Amino acid sequence: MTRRPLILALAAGMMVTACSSSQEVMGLQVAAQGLLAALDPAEPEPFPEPTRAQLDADGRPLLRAFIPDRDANALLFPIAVNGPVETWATVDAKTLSLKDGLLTQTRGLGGDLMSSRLPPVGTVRSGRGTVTRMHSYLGPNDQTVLVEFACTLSDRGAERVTVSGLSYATRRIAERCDGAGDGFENLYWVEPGGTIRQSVQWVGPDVGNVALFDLRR
Amino acid sequence: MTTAIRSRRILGWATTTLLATGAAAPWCLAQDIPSLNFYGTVGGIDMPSGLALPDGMVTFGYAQFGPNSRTSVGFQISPRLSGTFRYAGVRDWDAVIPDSGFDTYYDRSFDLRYQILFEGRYIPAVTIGLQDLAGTGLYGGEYIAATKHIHPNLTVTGGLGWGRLGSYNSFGSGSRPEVDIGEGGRPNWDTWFRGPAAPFAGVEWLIGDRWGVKAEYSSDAYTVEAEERGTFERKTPFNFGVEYRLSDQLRLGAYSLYGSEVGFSLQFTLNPKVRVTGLGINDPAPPPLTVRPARSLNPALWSEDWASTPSVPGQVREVLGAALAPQGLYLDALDLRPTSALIRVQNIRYDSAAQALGRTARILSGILPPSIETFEIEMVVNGIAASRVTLKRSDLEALEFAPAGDIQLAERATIAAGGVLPPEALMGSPETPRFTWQIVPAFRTSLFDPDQPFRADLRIRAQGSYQLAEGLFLSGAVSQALTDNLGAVSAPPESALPPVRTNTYLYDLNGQTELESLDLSYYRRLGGDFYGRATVGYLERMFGGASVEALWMPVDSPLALGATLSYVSQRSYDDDFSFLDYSTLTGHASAYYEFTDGYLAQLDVGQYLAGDVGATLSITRIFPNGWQVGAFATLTDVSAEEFGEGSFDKGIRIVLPVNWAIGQSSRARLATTLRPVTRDGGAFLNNDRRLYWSLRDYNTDGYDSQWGRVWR
Repeated sequence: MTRRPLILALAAGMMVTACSSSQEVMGLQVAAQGLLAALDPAEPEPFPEPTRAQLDADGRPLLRAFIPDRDANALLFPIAVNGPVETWATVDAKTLSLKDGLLTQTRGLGGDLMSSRLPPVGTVRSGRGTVTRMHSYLGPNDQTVLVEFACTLSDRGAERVTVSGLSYATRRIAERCDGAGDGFENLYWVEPGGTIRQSVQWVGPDVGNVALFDLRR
Repeated sequence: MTTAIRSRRILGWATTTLLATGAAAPWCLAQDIPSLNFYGTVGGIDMPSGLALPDGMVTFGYAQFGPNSRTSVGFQISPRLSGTFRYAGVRDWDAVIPDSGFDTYYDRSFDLRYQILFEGRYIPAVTIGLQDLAGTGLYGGEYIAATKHIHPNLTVTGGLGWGRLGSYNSFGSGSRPEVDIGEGGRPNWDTWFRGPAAPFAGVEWLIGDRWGVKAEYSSDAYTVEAEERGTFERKTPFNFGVEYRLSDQLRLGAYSLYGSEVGFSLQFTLNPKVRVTGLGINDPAPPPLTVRPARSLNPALWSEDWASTPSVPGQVREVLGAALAPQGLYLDALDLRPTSALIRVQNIRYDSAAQALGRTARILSGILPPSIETFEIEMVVNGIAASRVTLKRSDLEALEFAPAGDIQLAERATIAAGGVLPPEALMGSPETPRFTWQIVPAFRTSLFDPDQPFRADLRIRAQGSYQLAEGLFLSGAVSQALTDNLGAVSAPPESALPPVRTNTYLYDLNGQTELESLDLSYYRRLGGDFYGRATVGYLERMFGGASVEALWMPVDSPLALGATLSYVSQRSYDDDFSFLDYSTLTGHASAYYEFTDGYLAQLDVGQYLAGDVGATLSITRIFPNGWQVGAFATLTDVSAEEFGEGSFDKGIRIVLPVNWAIGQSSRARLATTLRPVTRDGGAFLNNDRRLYWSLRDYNTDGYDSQWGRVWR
């Protein structure tokens, strides 16, 4: 987290000494770790991106995600399917749920996208027209806040992209959205068959964008 | 069994839909938070303004200039009403008139402010304020102040003050009546807005996001401190200052006051509605919901044949208990039927009942046979099933990814009173601990002693609880002082009543190692909406005995009624398990009423520890994440003279939930009660095991207040 005000350090300081049978007391470990992290911001480890050979040898489907505002990289593996929605998880229990390649929920990021009403994926792939979307977040007092966006799609033309050593012919589609006080632009690189090979999608005001790369063949 | 169907109060969740209007984003937190003055209320430097803080804000302020120091705690009670409690000291009080015997004069004061006009395009924000409305009158003053933003970064304030705030260049005839101090603590309503008045003015200019400069003309002559007692020299009415906002919560300021003194201030403004870490909560992702394959695709999987295999419930208990435990949820009981399941769970992690419920349901979806369509989930506190939430598994499957699926799920969930376990139910699981313990740091304070207004000892406390049977607990707490400051507290003025609280200092004197409590408690639902508790043992550090409680609390009612009755004896000061020869019967009939928007009123009528008879009214604002800010006052048949300083018992209580500070789920909280003075009248047994507070987390309001976290 970037916001690490004094009170957190105070709270953490008080809690470092606490312990219990269940380790539930005052979020002990969390607070202590938070304090240590604040005191000693370590150099970020270089992200070990798997090679195409490693991916092929492993055979399991993987997704790579990058959050620019947090300089955070992760590999995600699928953990559940509900209808058209696939949920992908990192090893440290953060999840992204994608509906036909469009981000519909996140969990574990803080400021999560709690739910959404997405534009029809067919319209997004076509790169034409205007659509609406709705996002929900936890607002002040943990109340659900719904935000509507009006979005315009545009086709930015053909583009070859390389993901994990493989090259794909795509069209770059942009979705420009405006809503209450906030605006964002999602980008999708769509293959002729409709697969969204890579994308930059907006999670919310706290997380910012997440870049997604589909590492499946 | 009483069954109550949840009222579908969607609006109760204050769900907002915002269209593309260009209005500020709903999550926009960088709102313009007005700065505080030296009194810890919204204003300039030493003068108030017409502005108010955003609803619900809590403030802590410290300011000092010359001989004057002021520490304050404030709360924006509602969008218009705010209150501030202050502890002020004036050094060198006896320098010219040596009459008090103290080098520093200390004074407690309490203000109320009411914003009568919100700021409009042309209309200024206008606030009426009562300063030190019930004290000795040193800080007594009233004002009406108007503030207008000339520019988003520039505010101009003008006002008129009475009393202390109308003492410099005043106009108007007549005199202000003398405050009849008596034992203090009573409103001085006969002096309000009486006597001469004087104008004051100020400007504040914000430079960028962090810096601000202030200038003001003060209508306070400091008649007592400057003219009579010569504690400092007041040369001009003009004050200047510069302030720096270090974070969203903290502002620092440096000032020049009255042409002669340098001052500084520290202003904490906390927003209970938003965690320090920002919106949302940083818990790990929940386990995914497991969706059953369609019955038409795999009819065999949906078979109910498993129900005829006797070993299934035992296996389910084992797997379920192991899956719940890492989530901070412990299986308490399980009853499986062909198409429904009843599950009792202890939630030790989540401050949000809805989040505990959602995670339990997700785990159930991955373990229970597909034919089980109905989940009946009961959260257990102290062995009591606090309520029962019924969820349809197919609703969970359909709504996991639905837009605003939380709102739709609420419409389909029902919340009812906890049920009765059938005899064939399986109890517990290997993961569910019978013995729980904690070692926590603890603070003990002694406030407002004129010799040293703030004394605190850090202690280390070990507490544990062993569940002997369903609802039967043996609990205790011991603590050890790590510092020794409270032992030096002197005896308070003698009391006309049995010294049930004024002898606290004697316990502090011998309290290095202390058995704070050791008791046996039995909790159970008596049937319907009635609950009961019986406790026997050392109930608190100063009293031991036996206590019983009964509570009527329907899950969906804003009203609950209860009664407590205790026979207690005063424990010896030196903790040798003996009792002093003071014994008494104490007990109250209590009514709890929860208004909308989280205001709770509690009325206790009965007999207090010193044998006095009367009533206590408490008004508490409860925020969904667990923050509480409340005030209470007790009037009994003890006269103000018998009671002593303060006239009657009153105070404020603040509960700060740990989840708010660390941004992760936690049920831990820090609670503190501030009394301007502690005497023996209107004293309750310190026994915070009241059933109401443990059960309310899981009633309809408890679930609804943070329902959005059901999918979190």
